[in-house]
Amino acid sequence: MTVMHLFGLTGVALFCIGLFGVMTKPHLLKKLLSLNIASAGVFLLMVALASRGDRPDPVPHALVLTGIVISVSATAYAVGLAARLHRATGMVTLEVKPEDDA
Amino acid sequence: MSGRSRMSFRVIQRTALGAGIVALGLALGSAVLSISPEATGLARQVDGAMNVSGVAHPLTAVLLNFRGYDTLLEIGVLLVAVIAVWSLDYREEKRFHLQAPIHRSPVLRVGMGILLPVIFITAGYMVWAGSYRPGGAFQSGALLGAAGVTLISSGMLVAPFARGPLVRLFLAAGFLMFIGVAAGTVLFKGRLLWYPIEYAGLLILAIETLLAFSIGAALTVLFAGVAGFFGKGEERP
Repeated sequence: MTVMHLFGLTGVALFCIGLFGVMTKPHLLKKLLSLNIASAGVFLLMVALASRGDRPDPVPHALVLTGIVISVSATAYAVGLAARLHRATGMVTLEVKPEDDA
Repeated sequence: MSGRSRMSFRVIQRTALGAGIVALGLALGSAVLSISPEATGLARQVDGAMNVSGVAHPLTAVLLNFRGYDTLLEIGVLLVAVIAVWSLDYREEKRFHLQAPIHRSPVLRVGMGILLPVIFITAGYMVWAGSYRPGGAFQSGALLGAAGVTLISSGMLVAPFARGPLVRLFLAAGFLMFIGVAAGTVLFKGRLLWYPIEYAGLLILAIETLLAFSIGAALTVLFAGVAGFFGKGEERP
């Protein structure tokens, strides 16, 4: 068990917390937040892997930097979609209303 | 189905899901623990190729040279996200823009006057620093984006600000420059993004400068585009 393992396990824990949130929270913004927590966990794991050896490995760092920008753009688009959904239907979830599924 | 049985079904569902995720976490955790702390990464290969990269910082060398196509596609994705957010807003709907607190607060106006030049200078330094220490287009673009978001939320820029030619030019500049360089390397060197060694440093600096502008503009436009959907402000005339 090294510091790298500790950071890696923290990444796994964040990923699982995020995954649980994505699957259980109906509110779209909460889903998005959960998704971002999960991806933060993946990034943390990748950076932890890069910390092995006598000096940091720049390739995973570059991948994480790229991943952060991609997740920011995807999140912005998803927030835009959620806001449009709210504007169009007044709903903030994708759930079918109980009275509709008769 | 009665309310009570629906409730208990939900509890069972949650518990099963939680157990599944805990099991997944344990499996992933044991996989992490099995990773050897000895490095088998690419640090050595990167070090070995640094003399042809044109820059002195390994991260910048990987981002802009060795794996330049990642960065090329990434700025493309950012551009697509901007187009996607823009296309979400339907013309027939009334759009709103944020209220302009700047007219009501002299403190905000003076504060912005002090903050903005510092942000712009730091952003410029970041691009330059990227060639020999941590920094580069993304950090710089994030700073410029922060400046743009601050400008919009203080009311100095109107939120759905013009999608005019200047904004579009800023958005596309990084991608166009990158595509141009990529096409040039294919034509003259025969391989995608293989820079000639003597110009590598200059090309990377030029690409990074335009990338910083594009990333800053894209982040600002994404914020403005999304913020424009939340109608708490005045109606646009």
